[in-house]
Amino acid sequence: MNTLALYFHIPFCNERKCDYCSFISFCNKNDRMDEYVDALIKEIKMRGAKEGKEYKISSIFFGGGTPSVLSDGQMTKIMIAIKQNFRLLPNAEITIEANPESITESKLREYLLVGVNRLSIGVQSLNDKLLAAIGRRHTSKQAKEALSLAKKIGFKNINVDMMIGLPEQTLSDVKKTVKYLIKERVNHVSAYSLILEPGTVLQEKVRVGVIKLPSEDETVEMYNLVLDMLSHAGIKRYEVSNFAMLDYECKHNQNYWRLGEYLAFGVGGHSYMKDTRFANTDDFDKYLQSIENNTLPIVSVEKLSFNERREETIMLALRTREGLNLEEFDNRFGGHFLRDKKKEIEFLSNRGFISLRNGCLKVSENAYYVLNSIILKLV
Amino acid sequence: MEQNIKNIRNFCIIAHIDHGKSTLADRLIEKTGTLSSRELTEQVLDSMDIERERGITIKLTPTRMFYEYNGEEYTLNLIDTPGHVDFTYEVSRSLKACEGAILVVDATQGVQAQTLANVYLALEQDLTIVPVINKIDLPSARVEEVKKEIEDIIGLSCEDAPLISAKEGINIDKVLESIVQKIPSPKGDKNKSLKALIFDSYYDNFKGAVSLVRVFDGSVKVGDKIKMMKTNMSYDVTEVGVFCPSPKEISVLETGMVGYICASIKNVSETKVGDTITFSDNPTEKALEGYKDVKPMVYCGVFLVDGSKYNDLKDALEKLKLNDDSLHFTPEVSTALGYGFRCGFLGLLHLEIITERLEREFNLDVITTAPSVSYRVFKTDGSMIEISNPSLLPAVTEIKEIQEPVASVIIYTPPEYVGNIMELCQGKRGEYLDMQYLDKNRVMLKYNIPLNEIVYDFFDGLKSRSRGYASLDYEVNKFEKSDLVKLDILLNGEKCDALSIIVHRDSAYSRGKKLCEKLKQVIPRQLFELPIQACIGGKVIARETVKAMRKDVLAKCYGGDISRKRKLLEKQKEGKKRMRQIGSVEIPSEAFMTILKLDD
Repeated sequence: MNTLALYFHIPFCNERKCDYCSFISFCNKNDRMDEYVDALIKEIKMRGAKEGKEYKISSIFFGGGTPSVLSDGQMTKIMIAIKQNFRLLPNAEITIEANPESITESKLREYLLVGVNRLSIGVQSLNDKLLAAIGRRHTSKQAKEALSLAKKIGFKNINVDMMIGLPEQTLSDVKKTVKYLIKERVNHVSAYSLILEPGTVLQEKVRVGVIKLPSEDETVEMYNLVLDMLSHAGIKRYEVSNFAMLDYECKHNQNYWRLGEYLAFGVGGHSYMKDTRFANTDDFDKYLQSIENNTLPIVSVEKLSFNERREETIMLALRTREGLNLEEFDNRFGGHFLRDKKKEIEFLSNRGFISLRNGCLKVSENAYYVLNSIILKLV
Repeated sequence: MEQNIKNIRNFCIIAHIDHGKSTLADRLIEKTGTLSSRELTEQVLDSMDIERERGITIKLTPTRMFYEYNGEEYTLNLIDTPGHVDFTYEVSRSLKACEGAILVVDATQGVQAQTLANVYLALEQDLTIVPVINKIDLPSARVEEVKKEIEDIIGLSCEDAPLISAKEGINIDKVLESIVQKIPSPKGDKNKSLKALIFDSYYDNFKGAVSLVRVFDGSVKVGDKIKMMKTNMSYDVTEVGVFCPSPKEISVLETGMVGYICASIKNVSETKVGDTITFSDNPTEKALEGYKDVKPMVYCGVFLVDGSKYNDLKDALEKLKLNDDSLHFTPEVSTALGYGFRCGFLGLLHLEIITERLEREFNLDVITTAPSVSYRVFKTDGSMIEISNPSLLPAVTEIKEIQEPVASVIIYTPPEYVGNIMELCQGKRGEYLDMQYLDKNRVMLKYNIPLNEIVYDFFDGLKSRSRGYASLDYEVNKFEKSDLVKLDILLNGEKCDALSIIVHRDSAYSRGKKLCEKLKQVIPRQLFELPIQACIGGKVIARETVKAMRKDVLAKCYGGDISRKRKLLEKQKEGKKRMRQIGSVEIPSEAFMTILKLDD
C-alpha cells in the first residue's frame, strides 16, 4: 500500500501578518475558527472515504498561518477526525508549527496527547530589533521561553525556523542565534534567507527605501556561518535550507522533494496525487461554502506531463543531500542522464559545483546558493 | 483620353526632412480632387507603416492629378521623393522623370543641408525650381529672412514664391498655379518609337514586376512588344496605367506621361531602374542616360535570436529585395550568432528600416552586429580585397595597407554650435576644408570625414551638440589609406566574432574600454567570474570583470511551491534560448544590440 502525507492549512494569525509573509492567512477571522475547524473535519471525511482506504499516512503537517492560535481542544477534534478516516503508520511524523507568542503549556500538552510528535517554532532571530523590523510580534525572551517550555513538557523533536538576510542583520546576530540553538540542543533548524515576496509590507518598505537589506554577498556569508556552526554541532544540512541531527530529518518535507504523494486540506492547500497537482481555493468563504455543499473546494488541476515530472524530479532532488539517483532516474525516465548532459555535467563538476558519488549527482555544499543556475543547466 | 502634351506638368517636391514635403503633397492631392479629404489618410503617399510612423518617405510614389487653370485642364504628375540623406539616389531617380521641382523650405528653419543637396541634384538635371515657403502659420516663421536666405544661398528669386501652410491648407492654389505657369511642359516626339525611362519598379503578386516610367518619345499600349535596352530582353505589354494615386489602367501611355507598364515580368531585376524601354521592332536609336549604380555604404551582420528560422530570414530578405534593389545580402556564418547574412545598406536609416521591417512584417527577432563600412585591404601578396565584415580581416602580417571610404560632409548650423561641431568633427578624424558664414543665422562647414566614423555615432553626436539644429549631408568620394586595426572582444578568453570592429588605432583604446564597460552592464552574472577583454592582435587594451553569481537559490520549496517553481524554471529555460553561447559564457541576444549604442 502506498503512503501519503497530509497537510493542514490553518489560515489564522493573531493581530496581523508578519511583514514578509505572503502565505494565505487572515488576522480578522479568528471568530470563525470553529466554523473552519468543522469544515476541515468535513473535508477529512470526504477525502477519507476514498484516499483513506487507498493509502497509509506517513506524515502529517499543520502549517499556516499560525496553527498554534487554534483554541484549546480544536487540534484534538481535528486529530480525532484524521485517525477515524485515515490509517496512520505507527511511526508517522506529526508536526505542528507554532509561534512563540501563542504557545501555552496547555496547548503543548494537548498536542502531545493527540499524537503530535514534532514541534516547529518560528524563532527567526534572537535580536529584538530585527524581530520588530520584520513585524514579528514576539521578543527573543518569549522565543527562548517557548523553546524551553516545549522541551520541559516532553517534545523530543523540535525544529526552529530562523531567518538570515534580514534588514540590518549582522554576522554576529546570526552567530548569537545559532549558538543558542546549539546550546539548547534543538534537533532541527530551518534557516531561510529572507525573500521579498510581491505584495508584502516588507517589499514595499524596501522599495521606498525605509529599510535596506544585506547584499547577496553578505547573505551568503551568513549562510556559510550557519552551515559551519551547525555542522560542527552535528546538525547537518540535508536540504538547501534544512539542517538536522541524524535521523531527525523532516519526513514530511523529504516526501515533497522525493516527489511523493501528498494531500492538502483547508484554504489554499496544494496536493499532489497520481501525477496531478491540484489546489484548494484561496478564498476563505468559498472554501466554507464549497464544503458546506459537499463539494471538494478544488480550483485548479494540473496533470504533469512526462517532461514536467522529469524536470521536477531533477529540480527537487538536487535540493537535497541525497542528490539525484541516476540509476533510478534513468529507469524512470529513460535515456542516460550522464551521457545526455555530458557537456553540462562536465562544466559543472570541473568547477566544483556538483559531484558524482555512489551513483548520485549532488550539489556541492558551497554551490547551493547558485542552485537555480545549476538546475537550469541540467533540466 | 487624348492628352495634349502642352498641358502636362511633371514635377517633384524636394525638401529637407520635416520641412513639410509630404503634407504639401497631400494638400495638392486633396485640392485637385484626386482624392477627397475623407479618402485621404494622412500622408497618402507614404504607404508603409514605418514611413507614416516616422513621418519620412522612403519609397517614391507618383500621383496623377487634374487641375483646371484659365479654363484649360492640366495633368499634373507628382513624383514623390524621399527626404533623407540615405535615399539621395532615389531623389535623383525622381528628378530624371520631371521638368520641374517644388522646393519646400520651412519658414522657421530656413535652408538646411538637404535643401541645398537636393537643389544641386535638381540643377544637375536642368530642372525648373519653384521655391515655396511653408509653415508661415507658425509664430516663429521668419518669412522674409528665409526668402532672403534662398536668394542669397541658392540664388533663386523668391519674389513671387508662394507663402503657404500645407498643414492649414493656406495658399495651396498658388502652388498649383505656379506649377502650371513656371514648370515647362514635357518635350518629346509622339511620332517616334517608344522611349521610356524606368525610374522605379516594384513587384506585384498578380502583375509581376511593374515598371514606373516616364515616356519621353512615342507611346505604348497593351499588346506592344517592348524591349529593355540594357538587358535586351523582350516582353509583351499586358497593362499600362497611371497612378491616382492607386494604379489605374488606361488604354495608352503617351509622350510626356508618367505611369506604369506591366509585361508579365517575373523579377524586378529585369526591370532595372534607369533602363530605357523601347519597342522590340524599330527601337529608338539611343537609350536615355540612366542612373549610376548605387553601392551599399553601410554593412552589418543580420542574425536571428532563434537560429532555426534561417530560411525565414532568407525569404524575408529576398522579398524586401524585390522592391528594394539597394539592399544587398550574402550568407554569413558567425561562431557566436550562427547562420545569418551580411547585409549592405545605403545608410544607417536604411539599415534601421530594413531591420524594423524584418521584425514587423516578417515577425523575426533579429540581432544586428555593429555597422561597418567596406574597406579596401591591400595584401602583401599584391592582391586587394574588399572587407565589410571585421572578422574576415586578414592577419596583420598579410596586410600591406588598408584604405577606408571617406565622405565629404556638409553641415549647416546656427553659429553658436560651430565650436561644438568642429570639436566633434575633429574627434571623428575629420579633415577641415571650409567654413562659410552664409548669413547671421547660418554657418556652412565642410569636412572630409571617414565614413567609418559617420556610421558609428556621428548623427547622435551632431544632434546633441547642436540641440538638433545642425543638418548634415554627405557623399562618399574617395578611399584613403588609414591606420586601422581590428578590435576583438574576448569573453572568458574566447573571441566573440560578432563583436569585432575595425577602428582607427587612435580611438581603439577608448572604444575598447567603452565596449567592455557596456558589455559588463548587459551580461548577467554567470556561475564563474567572467573577464571581458578588448584586444588588438594579441594585446589586451581594456578589461572588465563580471563577478560570479553569488545567490539565486529559492530558500523554500515545499508542497505549494513546487508547481510555481517549476514554471519559473521553464520560463527561465525559455529565456535561455534567447541567449547565445560563446564558449561557456551565456550572452543575452540583446547584448549584441545594446553595444551598438555606445554613447559618448
